[in-house]
Amino acid sequence: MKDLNIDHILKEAANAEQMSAPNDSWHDISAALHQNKKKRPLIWWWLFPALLLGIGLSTGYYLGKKSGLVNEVQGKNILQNNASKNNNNVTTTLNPNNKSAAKNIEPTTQPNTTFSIPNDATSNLVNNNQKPFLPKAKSENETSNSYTKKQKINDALFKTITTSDLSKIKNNSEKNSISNINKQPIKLEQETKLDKDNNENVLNNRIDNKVNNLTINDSTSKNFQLGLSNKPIQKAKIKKWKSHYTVTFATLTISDKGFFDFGNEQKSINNFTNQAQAITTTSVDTTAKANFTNASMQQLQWFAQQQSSKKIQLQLGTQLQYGSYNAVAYNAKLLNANSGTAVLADNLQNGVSGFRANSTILVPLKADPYYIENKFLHLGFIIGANASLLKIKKETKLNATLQLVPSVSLVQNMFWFNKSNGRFYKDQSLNKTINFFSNVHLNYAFKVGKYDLKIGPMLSSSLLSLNKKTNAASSTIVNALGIKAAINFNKK
Amino acid sequence: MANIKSIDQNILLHNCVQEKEWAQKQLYDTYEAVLFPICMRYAIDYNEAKDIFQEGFVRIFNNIKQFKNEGSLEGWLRKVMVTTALNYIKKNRKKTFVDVETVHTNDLYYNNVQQHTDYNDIMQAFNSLPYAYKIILNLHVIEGYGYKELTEILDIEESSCRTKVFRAKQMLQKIVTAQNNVNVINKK
Repeated sequence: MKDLNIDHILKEAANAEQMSAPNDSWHDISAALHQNKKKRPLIWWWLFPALLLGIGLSTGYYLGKKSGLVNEVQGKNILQNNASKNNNNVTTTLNPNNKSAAKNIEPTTQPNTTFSIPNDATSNLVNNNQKPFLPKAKSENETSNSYTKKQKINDALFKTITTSDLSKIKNNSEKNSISNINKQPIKLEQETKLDKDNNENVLNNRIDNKVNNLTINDSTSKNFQLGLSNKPIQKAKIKKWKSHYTVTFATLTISDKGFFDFGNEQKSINNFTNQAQAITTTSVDTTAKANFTNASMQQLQWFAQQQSSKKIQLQLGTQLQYGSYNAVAYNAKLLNANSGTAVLADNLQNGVSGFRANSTILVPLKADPYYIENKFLHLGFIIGANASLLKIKKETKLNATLQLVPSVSLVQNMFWFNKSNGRFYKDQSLNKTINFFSNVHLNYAFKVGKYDLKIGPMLSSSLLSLNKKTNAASSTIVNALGIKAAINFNKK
Repeated sequence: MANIKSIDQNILLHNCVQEKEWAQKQLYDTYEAVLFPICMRYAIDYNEAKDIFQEGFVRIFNNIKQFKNEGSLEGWLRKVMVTTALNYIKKNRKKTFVDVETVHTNDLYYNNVQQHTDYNDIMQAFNSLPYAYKIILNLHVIEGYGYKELTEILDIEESSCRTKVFRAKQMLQKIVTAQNNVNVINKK
């Protein structure tokens, strides 16, 4: 009964209790709501990086196809099909990947075997609008009855190749050029079909001349390589990589924490402000005077944003990054030289110039209770450019290159995703600054056409911000480890 | 206070969902006096109550479309404000509820609280309670959370929870009784 009594009275008293809120509360709430409203929904930014990514991938595929990578496969298949279908004499195709075939070419085991590509094969290739396997001979009428020129060429190139020849060619496959192939001593072993009066050297010379006179385009040379070398053609086509530009159209950043989540009291920011005001009013350095207006407080809040304890970064567009941030931030202009106390002052103040070399760890702040709410997913885009400064590379198997690339990213815009209302908001604070991220990327790079597809971890180490009006610089150490996928535009 | 007629309330809510500032201001003016005391009860000091209050109202306006008119608007607003306050407390003072045992509960006694006890007196007594007791009475007595819910919110065992509620009530009664005695003496 006693408990019920006190419960009842307490509940009634609590419900009846009324107390006016502070006068400025509505102003603060309205400001927070207005700030929220000003940042209009940017859901379309979802589509922007996806569109860029799609364009990049489709362009890369198209260029890769155009450069002949797809035709190579088709030509190779046609070569194999025609050789096996139409040539009764050929028991084994000259597939360079077929080791048993190479063994069968040995003249001692099959002395009478002829290896030639039938005319049909060439004509079929031409009729199918494919790159011809070999340059078409002028006419069959031009050939002699016993041994046509075309057959001579074919035989010289394919028919009489022994295992030892193949091994020699393999050894020379780094160059992989038709001229190297021609320089190989061609050994004619099918002497039964030849007129013995023909001197072997004369024949070789004729063949050499004929082959040398051939106009061989890229696709033909590729087919020669396919026929004679185990090395994939892409290997020969890879150029030494030069300096390149990586244009970052968009960055997507994800975080599981609100970026104002520092767990401190609101009053800490008030104390901080008071402290800064006290310092600056006694400061001799007039350039360091701080006037913490609302605008500067907003900037201060932005700096708090930069110190999110946990972020995951995901870049979309031509560069895709995914990782986690663990940021410790300091500002180069935050230290009062007299007292050694951190003051978020001059770099936040418009019209203040000068740079202080001193730096200090920024006191974690809870800038705005509104942002304490864990509603921001940190899903945002960073639009900017990324330029590599230096590259250490090492070639690996599978036509990929391992690269260590320090780079600088120019960050122009950031967009944040509010998970509670599903909207994107532009980070207005970046409008006032020019921002550079320094990164180190470890890329595993593939080449498709003239584009480089890269994937690998990346480390962002610091952020340098330049105030557009005052040219004041501030830097923030950001340790971001992520995974990146990118398409690079090579500088020719 | 909540004197808005039903139809007006619907219009007001609709405009709040549309983020019309006049509607938001009207809602704020209507309920601020009811909601701010809630923040005061959960906060350590006035500044913290102000923080919770602002955060709560921002949350209210951001989530007002979730209010389905199934219950009273005031009840929903109170619930949001309480949730905001609890989140605030969890983030900022995780060890608050551990410290409750340091409260001395020795010579506690309780008398029946007089029916005529003034609301102001009892709220004054309530506010003079140790912070941990305030929170637990807030949740259990005023907001009506059960012991199981309390264990989840405060992250303490149920038996400990029961003990704390009991002791908090003891202390409150002690203070109220003492106040009553003083009042009686003063009247004489």
